[in-house]
Amino acid sequence: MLTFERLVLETARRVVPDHPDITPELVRDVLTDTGIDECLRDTSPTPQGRLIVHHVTLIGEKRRADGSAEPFKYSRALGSGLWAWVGSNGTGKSTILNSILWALTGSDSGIPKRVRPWLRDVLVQFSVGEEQFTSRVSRTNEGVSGGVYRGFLAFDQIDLGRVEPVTLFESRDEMREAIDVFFMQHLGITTLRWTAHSAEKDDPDLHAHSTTWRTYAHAIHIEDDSYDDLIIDPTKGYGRQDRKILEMMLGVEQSRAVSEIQVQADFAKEAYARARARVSGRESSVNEQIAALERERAEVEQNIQVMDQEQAPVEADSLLVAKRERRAALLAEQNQFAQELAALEAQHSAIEHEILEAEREKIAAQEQAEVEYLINSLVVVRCPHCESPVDAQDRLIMERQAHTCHVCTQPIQRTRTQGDARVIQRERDQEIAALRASLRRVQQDIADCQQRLDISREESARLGRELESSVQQARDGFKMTYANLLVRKGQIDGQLEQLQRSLAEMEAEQQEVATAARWNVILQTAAEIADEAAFASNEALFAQLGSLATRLATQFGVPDLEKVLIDEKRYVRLQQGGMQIGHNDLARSERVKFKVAFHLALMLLRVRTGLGKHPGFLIIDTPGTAEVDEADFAAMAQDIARIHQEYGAQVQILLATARPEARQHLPADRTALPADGAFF
Amino acid sequence: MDKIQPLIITESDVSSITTANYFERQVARLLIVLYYCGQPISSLLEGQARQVESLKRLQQFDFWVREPGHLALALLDAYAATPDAFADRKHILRDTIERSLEDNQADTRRVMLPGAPYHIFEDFDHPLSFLTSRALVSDRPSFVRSRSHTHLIILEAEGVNLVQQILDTCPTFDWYRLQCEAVAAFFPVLEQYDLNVMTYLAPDLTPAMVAVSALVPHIQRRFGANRYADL
Repeated sequence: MLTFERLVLETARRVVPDHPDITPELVRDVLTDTGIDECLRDTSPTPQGRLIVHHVTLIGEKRRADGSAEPFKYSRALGSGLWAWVGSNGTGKSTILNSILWALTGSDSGIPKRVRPWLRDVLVQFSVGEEQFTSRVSRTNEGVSGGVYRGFLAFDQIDLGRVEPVTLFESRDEMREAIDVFFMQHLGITTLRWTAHSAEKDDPDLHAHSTTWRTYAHAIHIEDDSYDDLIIDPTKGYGRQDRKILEMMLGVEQSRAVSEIQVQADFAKEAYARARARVSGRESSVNEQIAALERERAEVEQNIQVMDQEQAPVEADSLLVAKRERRAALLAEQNQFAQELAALEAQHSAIEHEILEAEREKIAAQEQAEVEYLINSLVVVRCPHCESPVDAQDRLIMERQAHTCHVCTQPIQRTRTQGDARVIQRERDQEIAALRASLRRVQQDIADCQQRLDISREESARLGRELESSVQQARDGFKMTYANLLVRKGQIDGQLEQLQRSLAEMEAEQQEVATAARWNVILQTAAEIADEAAFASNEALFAQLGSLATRLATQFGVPDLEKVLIDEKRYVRLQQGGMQIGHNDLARSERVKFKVAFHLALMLLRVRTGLGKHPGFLIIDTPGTAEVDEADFAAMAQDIARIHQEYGAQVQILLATARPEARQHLPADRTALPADGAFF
Repeated sequence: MDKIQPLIITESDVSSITTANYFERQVARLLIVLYYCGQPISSLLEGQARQVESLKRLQQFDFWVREPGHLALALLDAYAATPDAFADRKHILRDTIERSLEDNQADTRRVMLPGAPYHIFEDFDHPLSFLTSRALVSDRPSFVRSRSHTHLIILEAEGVNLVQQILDTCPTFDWYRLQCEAVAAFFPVLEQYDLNVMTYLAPDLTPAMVAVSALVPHIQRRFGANRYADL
């Protein structure tokens, strides 16, 4: 198990050889300052037991297009084991399951918008471990209200008020928060943080976000339209939430610490990039200007000295002096504006370059996603040099056994999947949006700075003209050249003073950049080490999940499946017919079977090993109505029924299906059929 | 060739390139370039194939496909010098320039080669070996008695079919088809430019400058000049 001391030592061991300015003490200070020592000591709460839904009641009115309304009440007692709803489309099975989810997660997104106004009251009685609760949600024209109460209660008991509320809510947002807090406490779930740029155009900052019970609830619900992704649709969430769900459900130790270190590493990377962009290009420009001004001052002083020997110095004239001082100050100010402009323009072009790189990377990822599978499927049939044929089957057998190329003996590499490329594209999109926001801000700064520079130039030009005529009028016989030289000397002194001040400021900024760079290196390395350690200490657990998923998916009819692997990045990889692929590379019908198998495996692993935080509760909604053929569906239904027989006392599965043949395989006493063409 | 079920996804000898630079997209682009750069040859036994006469020619053709900004600047330069030579192909020229300006594609569609940004040509060792081992390409020196060695690259009938499959199923690759058609239409003109000097960049640009900077503003400025008014 990773300890703070081990993390410090290992980070220092990896970082110090390449960065002599980083000491082990600095590594310790950085990791302490970012609170990583606290995270590694932190322990998550213990789950209080599994979740069982004991009873569901829905009350409402069906509203017809002609304005009429038909009241309904649906009620069903449930408990441990398998409970099924079999009925054709439109009978209300999915609405019942999604209403249960609504009461348990606060999310009603699965209930069709047309049907939501029909539901007036939802009551779900459930238990977590030994404790009994009732969740009640009411919808009126004013919004959503309700609460979670201790004990199994009916509507009347709640309405009469003689009950003990655990939590109450008066709106949709309050409901989500209250339900999240309740279940996270009772199921022993903690939040995992991740970072992302805001989608808002004018907000270039990196923000931290947190997973909640609603995020993890994706592991207890398989929807009818979500087979393309194994756990969660990547377009619905950022930051590899599927990985976080998987780790939490499996109870991977120190997930919270690893995600916190990654968050700190992301912030350090962002801070370093910003500090570098701010300083880049400015220092060399200032040094060049100082050198040029010093050369000019030497020439001016030499000329003044020559002229001093020939004529008297300028007499004091307070008005003239004030104008000269004002003009010198304006010129110094212009110099500062010019520096600011140079720095802003350098920043502008750096951002434009970064946008271009991100756009190229996005197109490259898109192209790669389109052809990767096609090109990788090409089979080696001959030697690239002499073109003699190669026996593909022999080669395959050898490479499968040794996991190395039989020609060059290097390890066979894994391929990326289309899913990975999609994630890259989405990340590039976010990056581009953030960069464009920064670009707009810098463009505005440039316009402001240019405007101030123009105003200052106008004023100094006017003063210059006035000074020229004043000198001519006031100094009879005084040579204009001499006056100009003195004015120029004053200007140069003012500009040099300003530049030296800027240089000192920039040195301080350079220190900041160097510090940010050190923090970045330390935290990125610590994040890598923590991630590797988390994977290494849980490798056996991932292997167990993979082997259970392989067995179930093979039984469900996924063809040629040899192995399911969870790799060091927690991507789920399938070895099928000698190839290593991702879930979304499977054919659509196979995806359905594999997803159901994987989720059942995730749940059964808790039952078999006692590890993890899966609540032992799974909703499977209309699996593969169109995609799975009859034989495979029968195998799936039989296996789910077998899981009910073997583990019914330890898990609860709620299943809805539109396929009538399911009745032959599911237990008759637990299968509900619609009365008069609908469940309610 | 007998159809065999797909076996192994990646080859270890190209793996180091695959991870960092999307090897497969480079291979797919090379296939399309081979198709359009090659001359058709066919035999009764093996069906239609394409032959490229030299590696140098293939590298040059690929350069113009990978560098849409260079292509646009070179075509504008060639047109300014001899507008009459483009009389019957003005519409292709205009479409090519406009395509490169649309959504800044002259910059965003630029394909940088692995390594330094100043590389002009790709050596194709890895992708050609990859394609040869899959029997899509035959890559060998010719044994013609000649003072200069030539290097024949043949896109076999299976390769031609795969190009068609890529163009049919991968919409993003349609860009390369359009670029290849434009390069093929003007290749005799483009071949005249020495890519070590890139005279078409003068007077305000140099090869080192354009290696990393955006080209769209320069193309827009030149394309807006009076001498292109009749394009």
